[in-house]
Amino acid sequence: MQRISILLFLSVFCFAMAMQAQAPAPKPDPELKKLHVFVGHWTYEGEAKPGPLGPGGKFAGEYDGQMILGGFFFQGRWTEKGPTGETGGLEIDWYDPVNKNLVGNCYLSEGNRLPWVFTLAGNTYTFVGKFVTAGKQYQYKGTFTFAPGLASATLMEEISVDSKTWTPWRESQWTKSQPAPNK
Amino acid sequence: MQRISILLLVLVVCFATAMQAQAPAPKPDPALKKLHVLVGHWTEEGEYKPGPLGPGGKTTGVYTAQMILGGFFMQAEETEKGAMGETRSLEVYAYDPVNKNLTCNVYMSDGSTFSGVVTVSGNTLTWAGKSTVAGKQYLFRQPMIFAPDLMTATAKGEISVDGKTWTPFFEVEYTKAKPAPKK
Repeated sequence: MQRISILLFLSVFCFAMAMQAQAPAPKPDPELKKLHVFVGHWTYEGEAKPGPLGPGGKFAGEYDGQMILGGFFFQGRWTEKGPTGETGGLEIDWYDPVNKNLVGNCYLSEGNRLPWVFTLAGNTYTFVGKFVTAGKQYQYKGTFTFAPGLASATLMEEISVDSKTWTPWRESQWTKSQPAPNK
Repeated sequence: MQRISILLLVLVVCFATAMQAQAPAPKPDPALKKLHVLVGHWTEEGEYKPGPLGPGGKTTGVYTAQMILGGFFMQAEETEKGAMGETRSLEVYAYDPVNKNLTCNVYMSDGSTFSGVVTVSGNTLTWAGKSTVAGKQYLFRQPMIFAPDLMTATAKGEISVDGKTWTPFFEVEYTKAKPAPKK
């Protein structure tokens, strides 16, 4: 009887291990497809308002977006020239299966990390988060509105200290690079 | 009198704007230097324990870390080959000025993520935080003990679902690639 029990236990254990080893590879959540609109090479230019985050002025930059790590994450990298010199950043966005939403982390060359949450409505993507600069915390809201062809967009960025009153910070026009024509 | 007031106001605005434009550029917090021990190219080999996160088995890999975005962040890329095939990950470290600690976010090619803090004590770096794997959250901790010459290290990862009972997850030995000798 003991032999049968041991044999049964070993069979179950081996089966469980085999099932675990053969478990289907996880797939990116379909929600992530909503970020595909950002994939590609973009150029942008705009103007910042003078305020607590700087003197304001015109800026222009380049942004590259791509899906990475098996399509589970979106990565954006950019460089920008503006009134405070050259800046840049790294953005990683993904689907949060616990809270069932799209979230991201934005790392800015000024030293700030900005975690945010996406909401989508039609052609408008809104990302809201918090960041700290010079020891003071700000709420951030970016509203990205795509034109019907999805090859150009307007980004309105606002800041707030209380989440109630929002102050315009930056406004920029984005244009996606067209792929080179086939020869 | 009114002219003097206007002149004074203009001077004050000009001075404030000039001060803002000349504000010293922010510098990376000195705490980030504690992460410099990870910077470089590492090879790794170790073993995962069978458990809820996989069948376990031996693993080998490479890990490359560098400071990015003006030294405000550290980025590391890791590729591991083991029983579950090849997994890749991207790690980004930052200094959190609010909580005054080092934070870490890990993004993995199976869609899992880690978010936590890194503490440093002597030759030991310890990661502690939450991992989300296949939609389920685990607590994760990993001390990484460096040899006195900082060229090798041992990392032992553990997971928990309740923060009380910890299960060994992996043990990995890291070896830093030596710089090529000068000719």
